[in-house]
Amino acid sequence: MYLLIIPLLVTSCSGHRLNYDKGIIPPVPVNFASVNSMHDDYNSNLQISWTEMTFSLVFSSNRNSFGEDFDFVSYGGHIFYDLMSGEFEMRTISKAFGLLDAVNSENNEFGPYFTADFPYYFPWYKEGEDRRFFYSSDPDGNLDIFCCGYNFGDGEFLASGDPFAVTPLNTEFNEGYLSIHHDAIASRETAYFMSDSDGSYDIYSAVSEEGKLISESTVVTVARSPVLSSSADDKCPYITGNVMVFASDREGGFGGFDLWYSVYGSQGWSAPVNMGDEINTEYDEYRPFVVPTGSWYLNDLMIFSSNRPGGKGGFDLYYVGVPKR
Amino acid sequence: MKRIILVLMLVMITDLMAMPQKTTRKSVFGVTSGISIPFSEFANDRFTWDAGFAAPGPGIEAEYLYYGKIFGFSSSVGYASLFFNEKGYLAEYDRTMNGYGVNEITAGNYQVMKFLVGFTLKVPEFSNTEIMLLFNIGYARSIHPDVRVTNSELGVINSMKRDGGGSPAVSAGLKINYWLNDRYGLSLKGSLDNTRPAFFDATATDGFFFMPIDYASINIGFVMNLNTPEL
Repeated sequence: MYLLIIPLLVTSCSGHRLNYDKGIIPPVPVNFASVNSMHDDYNSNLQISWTEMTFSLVFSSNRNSFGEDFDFVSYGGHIFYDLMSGEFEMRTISKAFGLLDAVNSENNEFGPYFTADFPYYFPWYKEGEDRRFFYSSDPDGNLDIFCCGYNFGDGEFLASGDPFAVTPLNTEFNEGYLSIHHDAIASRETAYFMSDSDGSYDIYSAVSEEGKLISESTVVTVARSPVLSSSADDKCPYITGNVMVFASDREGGFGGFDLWYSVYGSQGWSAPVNMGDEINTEYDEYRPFVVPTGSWYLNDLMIFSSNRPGGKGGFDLYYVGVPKR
Repeated sequence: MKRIILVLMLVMITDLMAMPQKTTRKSVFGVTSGISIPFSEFANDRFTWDAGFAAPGPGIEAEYLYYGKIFGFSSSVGYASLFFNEKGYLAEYDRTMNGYGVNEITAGNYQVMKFLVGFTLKVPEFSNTEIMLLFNIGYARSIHPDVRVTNSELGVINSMKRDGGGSPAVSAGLKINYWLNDRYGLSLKGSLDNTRPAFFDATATDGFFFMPIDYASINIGFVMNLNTPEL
């Protein structure tokens, strides 16, 4: 009998056949139930480390004031993907950041945007990189764009200085949702944001002074983007690489605000394309942003908010896999 | 099943001690063919850790046995080609992808070539019939098929190249010979086979994986006694 047992022991090692070569983020929207509340939860930004599969999520919610003003709330979490079963999960725990204590006020805070990637486990690895947190707030009744520097320490984002208004971009109208278009113009920083200074919300570009960042410039060249803007409301631009995603209630959608994308090429931005009925509904879809997944996944991660039925109430956050563009 | 085998072995060993073998030894060559049926995780058609998605396929085996009244030597060379359960595999992708896009699968067959030696315990021949238990160990060369899964929206979502792996193998079986005359007979054989080869997979986390291959074979064929005076 030992003769029969020995070969079995010799071969009893680990290792299993995988059914997926790479991860796949669910291509149909999934309610981000672990962070949503019965109130409005939207306008998010997520910093992720694919090597460690950890992330930090920041978004606007009126949960803390029971439906009154919007403040930023934050979560930390892990991404799980099983190459055997194809199951994808984003597990979260509520996590406070000192940075948000510095920027949250009795006014509304919207449109969070981090300029830097999620820090590696060793914070000093990326010492000295550009770390600015842009957002919009309405202390004077209309939205203005603000900026606050930050650092990463003790596992959280910490403010490095006081928040300040990005004055060259702000007007008596509403400005918000700034997003940097990296390396668009050499030695200048290019950003896009929304403004209703022409009546309806449109998407504008802003170019810094030479050798300066947008948040350092005193004179900024601002121009409405005719390709990205329409006669309807075009809001919440977010740029990842050469792809911009934004919300618009223009014609050609599925009702309410839909999500659209445009690709930047040698001819500038392409005509916006609706992201399709797998993502858009007759309800509102709002403030999308895309997180590139590199070689880890077959598709990229997009998070957006929607007031579609089936959520926890009001606007909820959803995540979905979108094609790499 | 284990208890039955143990009881049978005990009876045979007792028999062996009580009735020393006579000199009527047989040198038997046999060829059988039939069906090989995967079982356990090898046949599992869900996305579990060791699921093989194998389906029944044809098998063939050649044997040589040398035995006396109740004890003897056995050896065999066998080949089995087990189909890949494409339908089950596709169903799992359709389930886990929530119906996104159209999935398509192309896959070849599992193949196992085994070389075994061991011993046999049998009951004394009665009515031209022999019933024997076979216990063999040896080596198996297994081949994992090409597998390619594509999704109409995402492209190739799983791919694995055909690869072969060798590993120790064990087999236990029950064989019934019915002798038509002193030289020729018919044979019915059932066996359980196990091997656990490693296969390379460029997209796997460690670059390779182990696959437990378990299958039952039910074969019929003929046997020939090489020890007859005419030969």
